[in-house]
Amino acid sequence: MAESPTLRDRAGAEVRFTRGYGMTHIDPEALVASLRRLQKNTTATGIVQHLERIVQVVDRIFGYSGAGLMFAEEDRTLRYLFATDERGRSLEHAQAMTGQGPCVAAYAGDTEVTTVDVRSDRRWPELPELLHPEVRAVAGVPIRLGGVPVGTLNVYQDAPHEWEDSDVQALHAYAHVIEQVLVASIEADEKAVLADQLQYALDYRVVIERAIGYLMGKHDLTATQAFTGLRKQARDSRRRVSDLAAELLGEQGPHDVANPDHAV
Amino acid sequence: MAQAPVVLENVLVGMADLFGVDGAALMLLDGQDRLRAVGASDDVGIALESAQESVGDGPAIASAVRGDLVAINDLHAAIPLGFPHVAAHAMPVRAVMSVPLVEGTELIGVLDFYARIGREWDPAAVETGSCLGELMVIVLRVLAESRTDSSPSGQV
Repeated sequence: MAESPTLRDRAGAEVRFTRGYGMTHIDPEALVASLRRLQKNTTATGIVQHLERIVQVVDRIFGYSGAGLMFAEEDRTLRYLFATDERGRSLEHAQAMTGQGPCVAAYAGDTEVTTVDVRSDRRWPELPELLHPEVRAVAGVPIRLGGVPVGTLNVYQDAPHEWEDSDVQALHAYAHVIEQVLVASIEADEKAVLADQLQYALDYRVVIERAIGYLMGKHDLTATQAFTGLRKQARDSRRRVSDLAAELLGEQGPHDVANPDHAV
Repeated sequence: MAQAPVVLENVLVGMADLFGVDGAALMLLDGQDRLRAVGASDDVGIALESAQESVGDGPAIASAVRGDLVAINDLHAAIPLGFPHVAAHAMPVRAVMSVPLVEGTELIGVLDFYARIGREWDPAAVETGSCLGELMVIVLRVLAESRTDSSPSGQV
C-alpha cells in the first residue's frame, strides 16, 4: 500500500489508507453518525426479537434442518428461548424437561457437543421418546458473556450426520456474533434489564406453546403453521407474540390468526 | 456506547471467519445520505473502503446505487469487470463481494467481503453473503437501539 498513488478527499487532505482508530479498525465518529440516522428511522424492537431473527438467519446460512437458542435461568437451568421449527422446539423442550442432552452438556461443560444421531446416543437415554422423529444429528455450542456460558446455540439435521471441525468452528463464530449482540444490549439496558427480557421470553414460551396447541386443534394446523400465523399477526399488529397468545387463550383473539398468509 | 466500535469490529472479524474470506468492511450512510467508510476487520479493509469513499466509485458504491449485490472476481481487472482505480489504493484486495444493507425498504449501507486471491463467487457464496448482510443489519439495529448518548459530541 505504500506505493499506491496519493489520493485526496473532498477537502483536499491526503487520504491515509492504513489508519487505525485507537484500539479498533472502526471510525467512531462515522459509526455514531450512521447509528444516529438509523435510530431516527427505526422503532426499537427489543433483544429477544433480534435474537429470533438471528437464529432464523443462522438456519439459512448453514443450511441445516433447524436451529435454536437456549438460555439459562438464575439457577443455571437451561430453558428454551427460540427454535426455527416444530422439530427444533421438541429438541429444546426435551432437554429442558429431562435436564440432559447435547445442548445441556454444551452449556454445562462450556464446550461444543455434537452427536451423530441423538436418537441412538447412549449419553442421553431419556431424550428419544420426547423428540420429534426427524431430529437426528445435533450440535450445540455455548454462548458466553464475560467468558461465562449463559446459553447455547443449537443446530440439528433430520438424518444422522458426521459433524466436521469446520461445522463446529462456524457455529462458534456465529455464537461469537450473538455474544456481541448481547454485549451491545447490555451496554444500554444494563444486565438486569436484559435478564428480565430473556426471562420474560422464557416464561411466556409456555403461554405461546399453549396457544399453538389451541390453534392446531381448532384449525387442524401443524405446529409450524400455527406458530407462523401467531407470529405474523403479532408482528402485523405490533404486539408481542406472548401477549397475543394470552389474548387468544382468553378467547378474545381475532379469528384470522389461524391463517399464516392472512395479514390482519 | 463505549463498546460499539469493539462490538462492530468483533462482528466483522467473526463474519469474515464465518464466510472463510480474508476480511470484511463496512460503509454506512450518514445523516446526509453519504456513504462513509465506517470500519473493517483489518487495515486492508479500511484501505478498500477509504478508497471507495474518496474516489466515489467501487463495488460498494455500485451496490448502493443498484440496490443489489455486486460480486467482483478481481478488483484489478479492467472496467467493467473490475475497478482498477480503486484497486490501486487497496493493492492486496482481489475478490470483493458488496452486499447492500437494507432495513425495511431503506438502504442503510453496504457490507464488503474481500479476499487477497481472485475467486469466483458461486451462488452458495452469494446466498451466504446475503444472509450475513441481514445479520449485519440486525447488529446495527441493536447498536442503534443501544445508543444511550444523544449529544452530538461524536462519542459512541
